[in-house]
Amino acid sequence: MKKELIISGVILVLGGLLLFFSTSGFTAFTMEAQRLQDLKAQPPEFPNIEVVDNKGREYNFDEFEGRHMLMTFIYTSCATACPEMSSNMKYVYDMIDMEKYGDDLVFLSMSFDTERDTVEVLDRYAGYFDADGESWRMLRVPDDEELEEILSMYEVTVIPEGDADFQHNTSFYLIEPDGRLGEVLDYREIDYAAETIVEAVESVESVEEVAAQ
Amino acid sequence: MKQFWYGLALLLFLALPPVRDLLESVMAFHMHMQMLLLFVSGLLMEPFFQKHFGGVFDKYNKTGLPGVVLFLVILLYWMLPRTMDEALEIWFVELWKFVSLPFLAGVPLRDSWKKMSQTFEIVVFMILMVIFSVMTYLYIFSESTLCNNYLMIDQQTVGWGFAFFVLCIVMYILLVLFTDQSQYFGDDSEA
Repeated sequence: MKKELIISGVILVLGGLLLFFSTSGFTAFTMEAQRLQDLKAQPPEFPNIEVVDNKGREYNFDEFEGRHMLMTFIYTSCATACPEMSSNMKYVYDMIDMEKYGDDLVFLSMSFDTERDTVEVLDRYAGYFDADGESWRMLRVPDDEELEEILSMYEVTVIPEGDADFQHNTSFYLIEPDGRLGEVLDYREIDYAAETIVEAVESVESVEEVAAQ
Repeated sequence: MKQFWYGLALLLFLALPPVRDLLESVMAFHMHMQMLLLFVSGLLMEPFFQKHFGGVFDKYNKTGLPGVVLFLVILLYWMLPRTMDEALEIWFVELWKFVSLPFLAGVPLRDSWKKMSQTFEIVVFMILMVIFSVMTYLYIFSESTLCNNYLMIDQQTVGWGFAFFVLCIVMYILLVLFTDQSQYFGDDSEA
């Protein structure tokens, strides 16, 4: 019996090691968690894509370089998570003093349904949430490959569901001024999201102030 | 020995590319059919290993405890949402699935089962019940997709599959506890 216990112990230890290594030390139980971990460790690289906003203006995404970005990925005909996520984004937007942080922070809702979400549709959608088109912009990416590029860069998974719907990640993506993914925030926790964003923006500001002095 | 050939045939059948594609296209098929059948193929193949490597089992698995522990470790590993995703995306994890479930879960469990007391059997069923209950809760009530390759609705289906397993185990335990099994399996039975 003693020998049996030892063997069982050895199997348990080996099994524990197997589980330990396959979950990166019990930190990533889903592949998604692992991808986010890998993503944060990546060197900064700014997405080089052309976008069109809800005012019909076209520009390169590097327009936003140097600012923190709070991004969500949506499609306007979505009836489930997106409206909830966007209205929560509005709460966060209202909680943050944009007069104060407007230069260092921008809210972006990026549509991945390029076919249906035209500039007009996006502008109407922006109207629902009082997005002003400046400090909060709704974006579309005309080029499919470029859209794919930014989705894969921030590891946003979009799977078509049925004829007209998509299943997709619903999170607030806080992007660092250098294009790196900062945080992936739960869109239901608006207080926490607002705090995290202000903290991130202020930490950069204080560094700049020190540098200026 | 006939069982061994059935088991091997089942394993090879499951490994056929079209069969694999089909069973992995739906999450509930993947977890509740493919993985379960791989495990079953191991159960069927056990007599072969017993016959040719019986010494190893007698030496290291006398009471059945190590076999059960090994089975539970492998089971737990494949319960992780991550491993299922990886099986789809990384070839050696897929291979590991086809090796570990039959040979490291099915074979040792059948060897252990013969040696275990009824109390021990009930304990194993209880452990399974707890694991599957947790899985039921996790997959039905999780608000985010746990597997990148499958839809939310697939995930909930898998959760209900686990709920069904739990129900079966509960019914079995009640049956064993409240009926006199010896009336059904007398001395003349093969056991």
